[in-house]
Amino acid sequence: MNNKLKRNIQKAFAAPEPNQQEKVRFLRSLPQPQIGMFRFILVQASYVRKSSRVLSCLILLLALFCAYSISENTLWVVSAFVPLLGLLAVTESTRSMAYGMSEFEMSTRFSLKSVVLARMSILGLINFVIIAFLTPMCCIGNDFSLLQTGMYLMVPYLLTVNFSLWIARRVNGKEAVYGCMCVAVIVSGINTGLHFVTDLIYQEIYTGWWLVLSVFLLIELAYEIHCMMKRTEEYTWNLSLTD
Amino acid sequence: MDIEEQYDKIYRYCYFKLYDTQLAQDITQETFLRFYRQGLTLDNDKELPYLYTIAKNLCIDHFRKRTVESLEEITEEVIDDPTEDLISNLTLRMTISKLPEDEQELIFLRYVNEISVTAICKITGLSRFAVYRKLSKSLKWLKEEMSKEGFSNE
Repeated sequence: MNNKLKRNIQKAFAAPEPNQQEKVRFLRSLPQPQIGMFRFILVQASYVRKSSRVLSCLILLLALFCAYSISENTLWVVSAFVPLLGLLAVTESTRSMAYGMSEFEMSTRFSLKSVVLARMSILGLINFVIIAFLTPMCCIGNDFSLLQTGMYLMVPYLLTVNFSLWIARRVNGKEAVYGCMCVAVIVSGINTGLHFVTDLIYQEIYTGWWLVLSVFLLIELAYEIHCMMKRTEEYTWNLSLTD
Repeated sequence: MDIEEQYDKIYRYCYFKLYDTQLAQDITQETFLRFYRQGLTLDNDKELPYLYTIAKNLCIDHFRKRTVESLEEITEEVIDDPTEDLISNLTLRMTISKLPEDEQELIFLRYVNEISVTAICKITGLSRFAVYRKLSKSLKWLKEEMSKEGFSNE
């Protein structure tokens, strides 16, 4: 159908403007329907950027490739890429803060706090599934147990997430994203460097220390998330001052 | 989905059915109230056909009570184009009014409110094939009629 005919049909069906005052009054008074938790999470999941999803899949594919071609070195290669998963999760969760849209999001249908929490949960869950999938693959070609391999992958991931959240709380705007990128690169670089001393740090006698470090980082992560949530409350306070 | 945009589209749909500004606005508001009372949301396209179905049923309820305005009155009210466009629009409008009501509705839903064919199928209860066939037949007829009147839409 050509555009001219379409335009003419639209003009032919033009209706007089509705009473704007009545319309605005009605729309304001219209009760917003309640939304279920599952649906809310699904809606939030749809806002996760395509680039984040694609990069997560790429990391997964890379691990598959490594497991297939360089089985004995899979662990250190994958653990060098895992910080990137953490980087994606943090930058995705703090998008509204990085782009200065936090206060705007405060005035939307759902509170910023619940949106941030929902996005963090979604991304955290996805990354947990990816790491859980990567763990048995990284076991191929070496003598580490599943628990050890899981910790060797979780520690760089948690380190990146913790430091990135810490930076995101203290630095505003896009600088926070650059800071998080630096953290991911440093952690990834350390992992790559540690490849040359894997025999030393991946020894079974250090398993207890790895476990302690993992638990500490998990507690630290819970604290960072708590601080992040408190920060969204501060935004409410700021908003009440500027209203 | 923008609720204000949907409000305008439903209002236009009701006006197309009733040709009464105040009644169209009242029915639009009643439609939204009933829609939300069912616990439905406009977060995705899935429930949009239901919104139109409520509006359609409410319009049918009011249909017998309506006072039909003449085509001239409506035209005076809504068209403020320069003369040539006005004549062309008036001719098109009169030509469209010669179409069966269900075909007018299909053209309105597809080309004025820009609703997907899938949603139109749910609103009208027609199959995709029937919607495409009726639309294509009506458009072909419209083009021919407009050409006979000396207007080109190419």
